[in-house]
Amino acid sequence: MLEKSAPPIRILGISAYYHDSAAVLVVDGKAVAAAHEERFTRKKHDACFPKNAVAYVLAEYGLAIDDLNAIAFYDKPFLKFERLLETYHMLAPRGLKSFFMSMPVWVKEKLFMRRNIWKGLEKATGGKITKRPPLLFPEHHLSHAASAFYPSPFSKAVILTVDGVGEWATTTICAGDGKNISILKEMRFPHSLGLLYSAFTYYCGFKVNSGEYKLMGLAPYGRKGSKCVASFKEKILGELISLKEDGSITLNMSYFTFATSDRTCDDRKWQILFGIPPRSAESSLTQEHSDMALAIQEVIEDIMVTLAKTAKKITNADNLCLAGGVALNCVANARIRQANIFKNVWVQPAAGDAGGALGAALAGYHIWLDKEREVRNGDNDEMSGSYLGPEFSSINTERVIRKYGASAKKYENFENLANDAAGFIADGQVVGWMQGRMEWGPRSLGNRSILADPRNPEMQKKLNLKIKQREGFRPFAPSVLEEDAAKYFETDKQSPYMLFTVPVAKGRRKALPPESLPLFERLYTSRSDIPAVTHLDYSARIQTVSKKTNEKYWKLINFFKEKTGYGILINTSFNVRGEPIVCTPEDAYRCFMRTEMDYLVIGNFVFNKKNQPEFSNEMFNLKLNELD
Amino acid sequence: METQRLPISNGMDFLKDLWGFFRTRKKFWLLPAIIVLIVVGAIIVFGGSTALAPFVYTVF
Repeated sequence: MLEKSAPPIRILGISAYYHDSAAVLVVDGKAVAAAHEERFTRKKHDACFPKNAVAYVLAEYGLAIDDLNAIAFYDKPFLKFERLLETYHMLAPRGLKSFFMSMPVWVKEKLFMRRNIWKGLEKATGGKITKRPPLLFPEHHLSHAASAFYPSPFSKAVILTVDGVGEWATTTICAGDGKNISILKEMRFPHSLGLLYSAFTYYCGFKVNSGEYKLMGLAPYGRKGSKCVASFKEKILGELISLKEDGSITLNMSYFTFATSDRTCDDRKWQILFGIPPRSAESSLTQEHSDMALAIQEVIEDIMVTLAKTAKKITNADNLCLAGGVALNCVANARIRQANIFKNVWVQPAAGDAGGALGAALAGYHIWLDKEREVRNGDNDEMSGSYLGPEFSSINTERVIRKYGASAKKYENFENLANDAAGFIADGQVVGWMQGRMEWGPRSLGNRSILADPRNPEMQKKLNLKIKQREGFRPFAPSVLEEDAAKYFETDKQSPYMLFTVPVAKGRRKALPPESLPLFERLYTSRSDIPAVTHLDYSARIQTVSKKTNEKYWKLINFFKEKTGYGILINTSFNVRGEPIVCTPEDAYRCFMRTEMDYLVIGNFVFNKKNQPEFSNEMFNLKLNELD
Repeated sequence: METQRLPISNGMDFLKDLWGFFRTRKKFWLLPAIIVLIVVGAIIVFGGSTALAPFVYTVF
């Protein structure tokens, strides 16, 4: 007689109401479906209850709310409220306006989180909740720590979480051992690395909570080792913050206003301190703002390395896991890796608040339900390549073809399709590529990507201005065959989620243009034989593509290699500026038609732009995206 | 068979959470501020904006 196995344990994780709402389904301690709400609502960084994402993750396994063992929300609202009240009380009468603006939202909604969640779940599932599973509220940084440790390939590790703020904590060092996570050290609001970086994001003219990676991309335009950068760093370390030996910081709050207003810093005081005005959004970039970006980037990197050293000192661990918004700073991650403090470093691909949904669910499984944890995949993590989102069949693509009167060629054989697509890219064409399940996390990893030839010196300009419709200075990242990575870059490690930068191999580099040249002239000077993915400091934010994790994408790159000798492509997210990454075939076709992309591949269909009907905004019912 | 819908969470959930919060955090000095905020919030939510008028007249 067959032994009856225990029923699977299913936990739904939710993050919402701040930014980047998301939902995750965890079954027996493994994430099986996960999605960001913005991909469905088409509103970037959407913060509303993730009803579409919840509906998707439950549908992926055919579940109803009644089938769940628990639902976990990614933070503790009451503790957050306590922090707000104490902060307003401490700083009164400053912040009175902000107090009156934020309190109605709290007393009407956020304090009644249970009610909001049940209401949201009823909407997501069509109002049929007959049995209520327990509702859990793990702390914000515990959720981050859980998202970093439990899916990692390590049975023991030290965990570093760094972000803006959760309830009180802004940075934590935790020890992960089997199923247990214990918080060892924490830094508390208002002293926050994330909020410090956000203040500079704002001052350099980018949007807080979305423009941080632009600031990171701008940093290499700064003049490394120059007097200007040194002076900015001196002012940051001497005036803005006080840095302790263990890497913790104290912000000089007379320069910051985030605790009492919706602005991050005091413009007047910053202008006096740094001698440059705040850059207004969309205005042209100056060398001084680039120098400022480099200064804060170097400070953050140094602090992150110091924090990693402290984590090592406390635990003597071999492995480090990272999460929290600051862990998306791939340059800082690379610095930690290069410092050789740990044998291994692993970063949660959805390190920001969306990833909190995953961590909350995993904490529910291992901590609340006390379930054992085993490292099942050897050196590989439990993230399934981060391909945890929805997948669409050819029926969906055929519907799009009929709806828009589109023209597409259907392939019976994937090898033929990939070979043709690789040929288009080798000929200098830009290809939108949509296959399989959507990525979880902010990066496109070859299932919702725009692909092009990295050897083409004009490609960065073309992609930025004609296709992505974004700032010209922004760099592009390469996807490289895992086994070929060392041919192009100085690395012997995997980077499957684009969370580390590495230097381009010395033999491939060309001389850099003099720093005296204007910013954009320097940008459009070829820096290597893969210029479109070589940033101004010879760095590249690589994705190593494994045949085991994403065979279709690996094959495409391999066909490109057969044609050109290069096993590497430009991989940028499939969206235009201000728009979330595409989710459905219809999103992909719309994005394809509104840009100067040449080909679109969806599953086994290939669309040639020349054969499509004439495009108009009305036809697609498109509104202009708000710029991010 | 028709399934019975459970009512969306009630005030008891909130009070339980609030009690749990004070029991663990022991920051009782926040209690007056929270009560005032909740009462004002309740007036706004349940009474609509016009219900505020009698209170305003009483205060001033």
